[in-house]
Amino acid sequence: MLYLCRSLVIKSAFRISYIKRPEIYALIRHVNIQSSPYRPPPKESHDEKNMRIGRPQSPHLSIYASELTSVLSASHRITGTAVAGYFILFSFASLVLPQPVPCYIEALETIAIPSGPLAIAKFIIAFPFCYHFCNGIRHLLWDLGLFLTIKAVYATGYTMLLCAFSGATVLALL
Amino acid sequence: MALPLMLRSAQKAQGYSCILRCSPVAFKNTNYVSLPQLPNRTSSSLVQKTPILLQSKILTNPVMRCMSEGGDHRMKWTIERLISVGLIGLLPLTIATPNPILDNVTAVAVTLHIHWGIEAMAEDYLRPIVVGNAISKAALIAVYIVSTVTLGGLLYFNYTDIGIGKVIRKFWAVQPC
Repeated sequence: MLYLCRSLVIKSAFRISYIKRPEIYALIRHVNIQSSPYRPPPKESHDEKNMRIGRPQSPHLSIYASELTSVLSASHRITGTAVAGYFILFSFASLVLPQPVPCYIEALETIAIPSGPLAIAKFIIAFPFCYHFCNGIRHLLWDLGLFLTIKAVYATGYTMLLCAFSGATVLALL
Repeated sequence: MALPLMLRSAQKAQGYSCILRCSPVAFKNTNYVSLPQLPNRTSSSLVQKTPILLQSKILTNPVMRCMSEGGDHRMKWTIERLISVGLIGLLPLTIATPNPILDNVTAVAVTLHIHWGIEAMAEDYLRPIVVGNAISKAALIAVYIVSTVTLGGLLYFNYTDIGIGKVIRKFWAVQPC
């Protein structure tokens, strides 16, 4: 009963107050909630989308401090390219050169290379291979799930550098 | 701001009669939901008099996620690691004990390893966003050409000449003066 009276009163009060002042409606926002039908996302990759909307790239290499982790990783790729270069060059040479490759190796002996520079040259040639070899083992250990903490990464990194340098030295002196 | 709140409470105060008027059936089939109408014939005309700029629409968009093509990489990844592990033992062994079988197996394994390596580099650095679509595709084709020629050259050398193991030993055995 009380509710009925109260609702009647409020009804009439509000009805009178807002109906008689139509300019109030200019301040009211009439909200429509609309949902659009599902459109599947376009099949484009991250790069394709960025190209489409013309996004600039933020600086990365020019600003980031180099640490052991990044330097060793980049060096792994660089030394891998070097060793690949050895094999690719050798293979192209064996196909293209008029003489078989061992003939050219024998011709090297005619150039009188002193032992010091020869050892240094051998070190320079062997080092990419040794580095890539040792770091490759480190990568495979990571793939097994080992040595994945930062401390272990740094420890194995220094160990690997030690092995690579000593291995290259041993090979250079052979 | 206070006015719509007042109006909404007024509509609530009008009681269940208002809610019954906006039946569930009406809500389900319409594309939009509007606030319960004022139970008065003047209300519709007043709503139409609201300036269009003040009518807001809340649109719900599906979450946009961009997808790219690409197959299942797992088997390729596993084989890459297996070849790497194989090369750890294979290269020292073929240099230590050169023979035709080891030479040819090394040739194939090294070429595969090199191919995946330079393919990864081409994909990482010669991206369409950096060098354009044409150079990106051409780089991938060049990688395949280089790998094929390398394999061919190494196998040719193994067949016609002394073999990979022996030639490495010979090269390293160059004597100083």
